[in-house]
Amino acid sequence: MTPPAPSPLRWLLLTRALNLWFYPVSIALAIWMIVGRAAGQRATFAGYFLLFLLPIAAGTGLLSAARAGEMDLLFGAGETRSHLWWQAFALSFVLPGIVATAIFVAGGFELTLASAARLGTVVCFTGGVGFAAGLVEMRYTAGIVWLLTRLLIVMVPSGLSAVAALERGQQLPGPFVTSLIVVAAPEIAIGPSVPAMYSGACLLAGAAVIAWSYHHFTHADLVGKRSQ
Amino acid sequence: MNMPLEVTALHKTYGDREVLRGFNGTFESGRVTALIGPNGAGKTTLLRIIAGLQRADSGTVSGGRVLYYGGFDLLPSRGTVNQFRHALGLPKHAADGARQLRQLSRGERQGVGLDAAIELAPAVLLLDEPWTALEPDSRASLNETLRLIAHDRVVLCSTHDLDEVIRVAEDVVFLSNGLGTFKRHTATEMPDREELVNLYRESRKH
Repeated sequence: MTPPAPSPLRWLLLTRALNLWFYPVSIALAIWMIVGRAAGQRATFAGYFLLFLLPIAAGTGLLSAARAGEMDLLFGAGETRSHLWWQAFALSFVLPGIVATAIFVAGGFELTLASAARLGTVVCFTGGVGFAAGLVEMRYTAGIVWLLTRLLIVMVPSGLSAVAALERGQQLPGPFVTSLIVVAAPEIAIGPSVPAMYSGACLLAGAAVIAWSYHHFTHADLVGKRSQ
Repeated sequence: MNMPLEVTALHKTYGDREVLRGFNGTFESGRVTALIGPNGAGKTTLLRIIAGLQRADSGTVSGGRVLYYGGFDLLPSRGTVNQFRHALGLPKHAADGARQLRQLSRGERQGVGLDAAIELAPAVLLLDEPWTALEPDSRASLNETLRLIAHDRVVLCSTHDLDEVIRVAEDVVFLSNGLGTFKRHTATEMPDREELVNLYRESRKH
């Protein structure tokens, strides 16, 4: 007998493995940006803030839910791990990434081929890390540490001044410090003052964690209640 | 009649603890099979490996589409009964469809989950503690349904409830020390409770 077609989207919503709060927040920031633009301001803050929120939205906890057995019936209904991962990837990373990028660009970002490529690599890195880290249990440790570091770096005066100096291209710290700053605040790599190799590293790192998350999810031992 | 479920030489370890030690078994459609054994014997692990949810260290499983149902506490925490069923591609539930899943009692949730698992009509239906939280009449109804659907699919139920095993199961697999002991019962020779209890007693001696 042919099984009825299950809906991964509906199941992800029922099991809270999809973050929907990103969309009302995006709409609110887009309205704020439009109002700002109408008043003659560049309103880039809304775009940067959405890029900051993107990894949080992308962190779905899909693997945690699957490990705990919440996806058992969905798999029993004929859904495959691979298809479910792609669905979650599209809904948690690709779609929010497109929304964040569109609002960022609409906020007054000077769009050229080079700047678009830099923006893409940063979205790939932040969203990819958020998606992959959120996929596993370590989102509660490594993910939060990363997010706190991102917050701290723009709150601590020395961190903020280092980022500002780097953005203006006034002084470029050594490769190690620059790498740390790019990891903590990857959005800095959107600007032309940071060498392109850091954008390339962002792209490679983002692609690597996304590929790892696919492999990890499709091969993981889903132990059910034992994981709780 | 569907193809049987063939399980060959399954091995599974958790750390240094060997849960399954070359488990072999053939489970045929047409009969309800009960999987019993002490706590920690590996019953749930065996079912989850058969369903492809867990990976065996070695061994093979062959059969048709498998569905594992692990109990009411694994159902989604939000949404209505109809939203839950819709997500699985099932038609709406006329009676309780509008009720929120979180507002259902444990027994009601178990019923909703079992109904969905059975309606999804897999070739191999694996039920982990299916009688938990069910009222007596619901248990009787479930047993009747299991006997009915088993005619063209493999039905394997893991449980400690020996009374229900005696009522519904025709084959019994006792899992202990990572291996299964198979007992087949004919219509005239139903499982004997004392015999099953003795299997538990014997397993503790090892």
